[in-house]
Amino acid sequence: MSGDMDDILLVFFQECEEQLQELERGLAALSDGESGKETINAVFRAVHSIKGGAASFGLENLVRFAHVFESSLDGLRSGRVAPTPEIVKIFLKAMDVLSDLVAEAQGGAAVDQDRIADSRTELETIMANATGSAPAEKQDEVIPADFTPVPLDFAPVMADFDFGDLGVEEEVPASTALVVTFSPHTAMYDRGDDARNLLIGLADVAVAHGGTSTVTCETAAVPTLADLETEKSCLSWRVVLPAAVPEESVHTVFDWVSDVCDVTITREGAAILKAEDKNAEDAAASLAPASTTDAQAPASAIIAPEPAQAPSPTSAAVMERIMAELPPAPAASAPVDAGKAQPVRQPAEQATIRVDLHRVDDLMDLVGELVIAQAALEAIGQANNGGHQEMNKCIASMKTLTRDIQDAVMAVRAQPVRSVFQRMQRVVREACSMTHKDVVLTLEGENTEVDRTLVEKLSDPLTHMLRNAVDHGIESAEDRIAAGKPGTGQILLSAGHRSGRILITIQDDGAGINRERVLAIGVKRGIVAPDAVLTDDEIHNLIFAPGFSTAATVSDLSGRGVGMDVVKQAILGLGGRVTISSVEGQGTTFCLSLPLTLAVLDGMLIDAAGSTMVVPISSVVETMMVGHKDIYALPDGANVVSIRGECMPLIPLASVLGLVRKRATGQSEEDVILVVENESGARAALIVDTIRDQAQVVIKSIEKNYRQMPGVSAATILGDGSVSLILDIPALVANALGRIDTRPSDVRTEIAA
Amino acid sequence: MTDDAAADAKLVKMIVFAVGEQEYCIPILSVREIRGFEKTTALPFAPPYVCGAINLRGVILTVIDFAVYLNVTPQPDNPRRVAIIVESRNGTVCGLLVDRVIDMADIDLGEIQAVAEENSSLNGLVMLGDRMIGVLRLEVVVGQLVKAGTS
Amino acid sequence: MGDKAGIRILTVDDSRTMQSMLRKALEGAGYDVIQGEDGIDGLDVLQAADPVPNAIITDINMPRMDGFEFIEAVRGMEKYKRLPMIVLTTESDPEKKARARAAGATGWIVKPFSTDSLVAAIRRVTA
Repeated sequence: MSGDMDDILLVFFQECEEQLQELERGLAALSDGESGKETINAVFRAVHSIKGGAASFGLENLVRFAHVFESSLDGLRSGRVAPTPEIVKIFLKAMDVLSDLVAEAQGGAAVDQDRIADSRTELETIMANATGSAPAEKQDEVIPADFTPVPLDFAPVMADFDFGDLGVEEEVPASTALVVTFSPHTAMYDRGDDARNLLIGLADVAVAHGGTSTVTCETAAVPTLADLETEKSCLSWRVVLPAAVPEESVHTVFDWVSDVCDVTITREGAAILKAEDKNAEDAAASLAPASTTDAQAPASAIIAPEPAQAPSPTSAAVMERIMAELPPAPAASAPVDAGKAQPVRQPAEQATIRVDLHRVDDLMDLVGELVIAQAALEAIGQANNGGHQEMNKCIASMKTLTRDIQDAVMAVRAQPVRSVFQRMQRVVREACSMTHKDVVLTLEGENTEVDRTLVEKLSDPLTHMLRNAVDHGIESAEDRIAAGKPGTGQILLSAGHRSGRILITIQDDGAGINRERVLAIGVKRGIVAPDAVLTDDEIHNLIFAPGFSTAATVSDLSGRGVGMDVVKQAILGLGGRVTISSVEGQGTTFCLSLPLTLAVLDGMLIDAAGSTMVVPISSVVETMMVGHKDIYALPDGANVVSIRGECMPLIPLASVLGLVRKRATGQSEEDVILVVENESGARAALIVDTIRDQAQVVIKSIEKNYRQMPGVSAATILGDGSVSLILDIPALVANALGRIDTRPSDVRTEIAA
Repeated sequence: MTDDAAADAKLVKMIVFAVGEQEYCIPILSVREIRGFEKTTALPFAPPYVCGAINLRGVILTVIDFAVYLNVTPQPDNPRRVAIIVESRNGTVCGLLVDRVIDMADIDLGEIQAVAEENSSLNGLVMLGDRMIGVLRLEVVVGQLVKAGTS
Repeated sequence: MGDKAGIRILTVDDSRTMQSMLRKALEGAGYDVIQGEDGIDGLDVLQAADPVPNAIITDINMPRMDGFEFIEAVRGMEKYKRLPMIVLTTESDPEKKARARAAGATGWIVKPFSTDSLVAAIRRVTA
């Protein structure tokens, strides 16, 4: 049992997560001035849902806060509260509290009581200021003031089920029996209800008060069989209950049906009651089946009247009639009209299914295998020297299909960056309150889709970069105003696709990077030589250097996390790159360029030391032959090559990887080189044996079964089934640059990065 | 089969294989499959006993040349060399290149005579008829693949 | 519990938490449970259901099609004209109750529910 409940609790927290996202999205729309009914409903529903679930688990703190939140959102829903920017701000704050309360319920840190109280007061103020009806009353009816969440174990609590409350023993019983008569209208049956249900309800009440009920059925109103309308209610009942039963209990039984059932409740003498006792039981026994038939009859009843309708030929009228239920409906069921009966379906655009993540991942793996198998087939086709023409055609079309399947599976795994982007609103809000700045974060391109593994991994780097933007990018309001800017800072976070990669930019309208200061810090920290002459861009990149951010330069806020060097590492780890541009006085822009997926990679296949290896295309600048006259040996044994005047280290791949074969360097007049560059644009030339091909390869981890290897980021399986290593170009370049001391000092910052 | 099976003998089914002149065994439960030796992909900075990486139905794993690992002379020109694919208790999969697989045997753990110190790859020796067989400690062998320090 | 064998309940709620709890409570009490995640989905599930459920428990606040519309839609179909439909909601607003009545709801239970009260309610309408 507890295992079950634990599972449900997990579902609940998962759902909370989704609802919070929904809430954030909705509030974001509201603050953009988009206050459509759907948006407001979605926002309301999110909080409502969290409250409902939390109540079931007895999560009191969460329920209480969600309740207040919900009430004020209800004001929004009913139009009594307008979504002004101030009010949306209060909601956003409340959302953060709610989100923390959810985390608290999950075993996270306890939420500061003052914060909860503050937010609560703000929400209540919204209600108090609401135009129109009294807010207090409204709040009460949503949940009673003494609302108590039901704990996990389903302890029996009384539900407000209007058939009656069992076991409510309040009053001292009156001395005489209670006589109840009721005659249901046809409408009651049309509500799926039945006199039987009421009789059971009354019987339960009787039992709860230690007695039994006696039932008599009045059949006087039943017409002769010929006149009988099968769907018309014509029976009434008289029920005698023990004296101990209070009238309220009976009212409760009839509460829900009071509009469709005539009820009288009277106290009568015990003597009369006794006399009728016997008859009553007989009558009930013989007539009860009649009522049952009545209730269950509709299926057969529809057919009977139909022939009578047949002669009428006018199509529209007939159709409407058919639509509106074939039998001549008894008066009470008439309200059901054809228009309402057929719900207007919304377009199926939102149709989604929930799929276990593992299944998608498995599918992705299988597609990876398929890509490899397909490559194998292609290799065979080519090996047969032109081979069978028909077969090659088939292989070609299979190749297209394989690509399509791969794209389709990738699309399944793709997720909009929205969830991460929206989380950044909170990051900025918190950063603002800590730094006492006023900043508006604008999101663009939240619907841009990337592989889900990537979406998750973006969260941390973006968080740090946005905190940094608020903390260091945006100036204080006074400084801004003094500089002739609006007091409120702007940060734009946008995403978009560009040539097969995703481009994320974080743009602030702050003071821009103070290059003199950055350079001074760089020198002070020993990152650059005091006499180094750096370009603007090189100075900007200093902020990514390890050791650049230290306690002295970092305020509380940024210091909470990590330095920008770690951010850069994280982005590089995702196969991405970061660039900075900054205009003093106007702001700074960070651009992250990331691959769409971490599962496949466009690579260049090269041979070195007898092995085929993969170089990510994204890091290849050009390929060329260089003659030995362009290669210069350095005193430490390393070589540099000059390409069109630019000097770069030469990396003899085979020996750098420790795979030296007896390769006769210098035997041929020229070497095949690949000019590669790392994320910050530092270049090196790889010497390879041959360049074979370009291919999309499936990235496979080797670290599960083997240690990490320097210069290798992962592996893949080629068409012939053999394993091929994917080279870690940034590491190779860094390694090569590190060995060459003659490089100007600015390059060393890039090595480190 | 051991000669005298004591009542509380703890028998473990082992696979027995030869490397050079010596026979060794590992628990059959750790063996996933046995494959013919195939071409491996060389790995940078690998220890000398690592032949390289192979693809086992989409999973990339490394193959250890056991003769090199144990520092014994392999049988010359042996066409029957096979890779025993094993999985260690912590889930690492690798191949052990051996000269040939001999048979299966029930080894009584109580019969194993410890010969080496703690972290050796050899757990001990056991007599199988008149043959002396080395009982390997797989976790040590495989553990070295994953853990060994980077350059 | 034997008497509940073969009694089938359709629950309609957009909260997976609530759906899990309903399933647990109802299956624990011996009912056969089918579920829909909002009004539209509830209608789909209902129309595809064979056998037809003996009762429906529905939430009010749901995306796409809310509980009122759902109840009205079900009531509007001849086949389900007299199918008991119980509202399960956190609300107890009399106006909403009246709307549910007008739409054709058979009963109203306030969340959070106890298994006992839920089962009692179902027992009444499916006896």
